[in-house]
Amino acid sequence: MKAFDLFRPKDLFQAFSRLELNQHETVLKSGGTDLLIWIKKGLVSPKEVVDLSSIDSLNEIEVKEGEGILIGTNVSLNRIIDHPEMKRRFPALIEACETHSDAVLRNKATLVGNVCSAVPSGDTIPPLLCYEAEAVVQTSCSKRHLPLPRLIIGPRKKSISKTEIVTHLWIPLPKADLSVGAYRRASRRRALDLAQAAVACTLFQHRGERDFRLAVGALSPIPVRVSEGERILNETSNIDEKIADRVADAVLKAIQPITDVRGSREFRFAVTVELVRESLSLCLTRAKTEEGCY
Amino acid sequence: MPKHALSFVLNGETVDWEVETNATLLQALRENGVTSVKRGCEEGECGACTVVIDELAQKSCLVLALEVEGKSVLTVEGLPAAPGKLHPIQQAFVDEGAVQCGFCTPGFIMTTYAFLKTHPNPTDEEIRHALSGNLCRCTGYLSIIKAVKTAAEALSKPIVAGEGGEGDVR
Repeated sequence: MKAFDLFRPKDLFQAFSRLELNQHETVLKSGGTDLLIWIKKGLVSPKEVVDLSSIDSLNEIEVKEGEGILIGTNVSLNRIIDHPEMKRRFPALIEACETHSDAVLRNKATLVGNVCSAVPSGDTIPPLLCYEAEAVVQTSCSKRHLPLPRLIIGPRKKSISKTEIVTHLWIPLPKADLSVGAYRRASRRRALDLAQAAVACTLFQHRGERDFRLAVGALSPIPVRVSEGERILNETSNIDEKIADRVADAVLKAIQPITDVRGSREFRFAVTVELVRESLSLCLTRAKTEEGCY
Repeated sequence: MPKHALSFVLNGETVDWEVETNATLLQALRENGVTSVKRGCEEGECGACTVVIDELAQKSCLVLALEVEGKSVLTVEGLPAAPGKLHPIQQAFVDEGAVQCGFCTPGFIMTTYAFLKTHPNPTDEEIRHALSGNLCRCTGYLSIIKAVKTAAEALSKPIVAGEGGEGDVR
């Protein structure tokens, strides 16, 4: 692996000071399961790695009742999976986390890291889009919330500057009596593989009102919400196979899949239809069987 | 490249090493003689380099050595066992024929060690899920899954009074 300096700050103040000093030559690391591979392959060649995993204050999952959940940059995917509140409130995200890499790597890979890698196939991004998660972006003197569609602007590209750090993810808690969801993806093998196509479908129910959300991954330069598909679902009281087909058509119109080593453009179009049907059907079944789980 | 001091607990004993900033834990362990930890894909896929860090299984090729400062690292060399005997997980792998070429075995054993601490009575499905990040090209996995079940049974047996000391390897 190419040589680099390593700076392990004890707190955010130290991290910001370092970034302001060396901003053009540093990269940030939290779990590092993407970054170390990218350095080994020569995809990035940083002069210095600032390792946020040494900052204890970024290890927390904080539930703010009635408002939202704040997830620190160092929280691993397995900690998300094991967190009872996360499981209850954001089931599609849990399913996506369980699909990511494998049970051992998930001890190291972090949720914020998966978002910040900003790869088109990032498993956790479609459900986070459904849940309208925001990145908490800080500098030494400012803090702002950035919705994920404004953070991720292209494959491996984020909109924030070199002196900013995504310190947390904020997931708002909508008013709901019920939250169900599903994440379904196609991949060549179940573990240790990247998605060929992925669909997240979530449903919040509040006093009889239903709020469906739909997002896809690995099918366009960045994961996206499919608002037309959501409109069809939210305007229909009786969702049958014909409606599911209309939703799938709306998804196909919203994506631009490519042919790459993991699958062809044609295959991705075809499998997306199945994934939409499957995730929607799961969502509806779970809504019937998990009444009151929120 | 200048080296940096690293102090951590390896297999129950504090060690002080000098490592380069870009050295992975895998490299540091092997360069210091801990050769049960195998260098396979070095991309986090094969699991041959799995160790246990503070109770969690981790792939040491994706951990920088300096990240384990102050932490506790366990490898196969440090598995507790009665004198002249193997740890029950190692013994189960031998008994069930779960070792063929053996290259992946230390990684499987360390993943199993961390897994059985939190899942003392696992189902086959839970075992498959837990081992999904460790690859074996010889056994076809069935004997490994059987070995994990056998190990779980061995570890769950109550300790008979007077046998606690050297026999208690949990």
